[in-house]
Amino acid sequence: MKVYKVLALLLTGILCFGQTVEEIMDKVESASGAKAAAKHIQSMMIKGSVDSSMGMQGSFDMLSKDGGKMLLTTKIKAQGMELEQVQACDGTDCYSKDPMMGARLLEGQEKELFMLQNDYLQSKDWRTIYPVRKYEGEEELDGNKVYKVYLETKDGTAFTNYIDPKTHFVVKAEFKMKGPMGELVVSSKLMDYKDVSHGLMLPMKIETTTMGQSMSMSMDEVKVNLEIPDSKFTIPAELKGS
Amino acid sequence: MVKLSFLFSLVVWVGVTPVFSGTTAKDLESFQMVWDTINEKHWDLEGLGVDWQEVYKTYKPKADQAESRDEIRKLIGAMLAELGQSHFQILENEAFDDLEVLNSQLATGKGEPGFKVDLIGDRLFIVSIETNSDAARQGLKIGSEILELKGKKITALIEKVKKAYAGAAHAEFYINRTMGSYIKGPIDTSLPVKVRVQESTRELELALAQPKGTYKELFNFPPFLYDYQSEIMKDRIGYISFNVFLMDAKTSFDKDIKRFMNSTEGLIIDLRDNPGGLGMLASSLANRLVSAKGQKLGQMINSGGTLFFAIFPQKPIYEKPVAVLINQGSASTSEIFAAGLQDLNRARVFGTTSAGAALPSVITTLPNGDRFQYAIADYISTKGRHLEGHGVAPDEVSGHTLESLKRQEDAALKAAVDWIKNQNLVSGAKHESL
Repeated sequence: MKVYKVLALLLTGILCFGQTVEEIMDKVESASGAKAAAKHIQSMMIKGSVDSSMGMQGSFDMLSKDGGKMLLTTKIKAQGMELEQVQACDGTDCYSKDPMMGARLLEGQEKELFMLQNDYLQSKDWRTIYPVRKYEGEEELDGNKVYKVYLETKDGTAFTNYIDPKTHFVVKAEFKMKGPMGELVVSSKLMDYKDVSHGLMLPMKIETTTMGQSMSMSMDEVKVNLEIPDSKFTIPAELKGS
Repeated sequence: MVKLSFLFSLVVWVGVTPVFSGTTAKDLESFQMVWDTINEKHWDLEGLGVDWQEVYKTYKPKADQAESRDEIRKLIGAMLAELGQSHFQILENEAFDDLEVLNSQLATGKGEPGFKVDLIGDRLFIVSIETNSDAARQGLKIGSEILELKGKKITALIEKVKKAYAGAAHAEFYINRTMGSYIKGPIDTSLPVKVRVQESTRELELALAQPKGTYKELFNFPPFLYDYQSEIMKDRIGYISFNVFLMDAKTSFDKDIKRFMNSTEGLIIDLRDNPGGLGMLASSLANRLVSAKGQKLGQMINSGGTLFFAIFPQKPIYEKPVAVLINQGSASTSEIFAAGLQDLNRARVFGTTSAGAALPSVITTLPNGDRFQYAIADYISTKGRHLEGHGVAPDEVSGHTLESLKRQEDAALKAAVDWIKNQNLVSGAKHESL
């Protein structure tokens, strides 16, 4: 009997550590509710606020629509300064525009990263998006055990996600933001997951750190299936043909 | 997700006074926060050769024994000075012990006499003057020498200021700023001076007026005067000067570039005595001067990665000769802008070596309410130059000299004008406009 108990323990242990990355990611997708919610959600609007360690506060408005259309407007205020940045995709091309750097098309990994970060239903397509995936074992995060999973797109955009084994929510994500602005290591903690609509679970708060500076984003309002005209996502005329 | 690089409108700016005066109970927390911040966030203490743990062992016991805010502020200042780098300071604090009395007597207000001064050796001269100022009306000119200020001999003042800053990082920058502060006083009062104008010596009372500019705020800095000037000089040369890199400067610069496209044969950007401002504005202005894609003005680096001062060409692009003027008062973003364009061979730099204070920084509030500015990364130019501690060396050294002042010339401006005129002679043709 003792031998069987020991074997059972060993087998259980092996099973706990023996999950494949696919099994973990399927659970992440299931926990997110993205696949089921995608049947009911054709568009989304998210309003939120931003607070940074550099003394800047602001707000953001995010619109998204089927077909990869998205529009993110960020307004930042600091003592003596107000800036507005617009980033958008029309389903094919993406751009960024702000008073400091003007308007430019987003390309390569910069474009892909923007699209991935603002597609809140993306986890339903994780197999297609991340052909490279690896389970990297367990780690401790804030005193809790988490699964560490490496994911990489076909264009080389790579994430290391830390997943709560109880909820299967992604509680931390790290990635390298590569692009014409440089190469920055970004670390985000995702928290306060809520059902925003049709079982879609989104983090209401994201704390992000890069180059030693931090920023906190809160989602204050989420609405789905609003009528959003395609014209909202139009690439500015000055960029067409660039 | 909000784009993080957008939020990196970092402040790259050297404050006016480098040293501090202190406070009490929350001040110990402030001391600890300063030490902790640098311990956690400095990108290369080892490379600097600073044993930060030892620094703590040296200063913490003294901080524990401190009996006043002034005392702790001075300790924090001394601790930060161990780094020997710019952009580490506590804001709104008094200067060195020996200068406190001088400052209280001399640097007493915001009124200005309508001219700027500069040190040449151990002598103080007027190097620019507003034509409609009381000083100009009373006969002062470029090249007039200040012999006494408020009854004090200039040579004695200069000696004390130089002694106070001896060995300090960026000493020349602070010495010049301090001397410049002594010609100020309360608005609508007068400044007693003794001057030498050509061969004669005169004692005058100069009216102190509201200086040019508009008061602005930026992050947690105290309010400051922002001034932007532009004109088309003779020989169809555009001239732009501004004293802080703010979004307002970008807006005005963009308008002037459009104005200058077809009406000028070259452009002078005067960044003398510009201590910096928003770091990314260096790139932002360069967007109008560089047409090639994929260029940058350098990069900032720390353990979290590399952020480029990337240039995204923005039409219309000014493609005629560009000269940048700098001096020892040009710091931070001014240096990134000058060095960046210099490395790209897009601008020729005139004047004197800049401050060598080019670290991107942020400002945070300490528990006692003081503001703590600290650098978060190193800056390296495109050609691999570390500007910190070295500054930008002009392509053509053209600072004020006794000879140029005798001729009442602005040496750097003249050199830039001559160069632009020569470029157009060499090219022999007018540039096409976009």
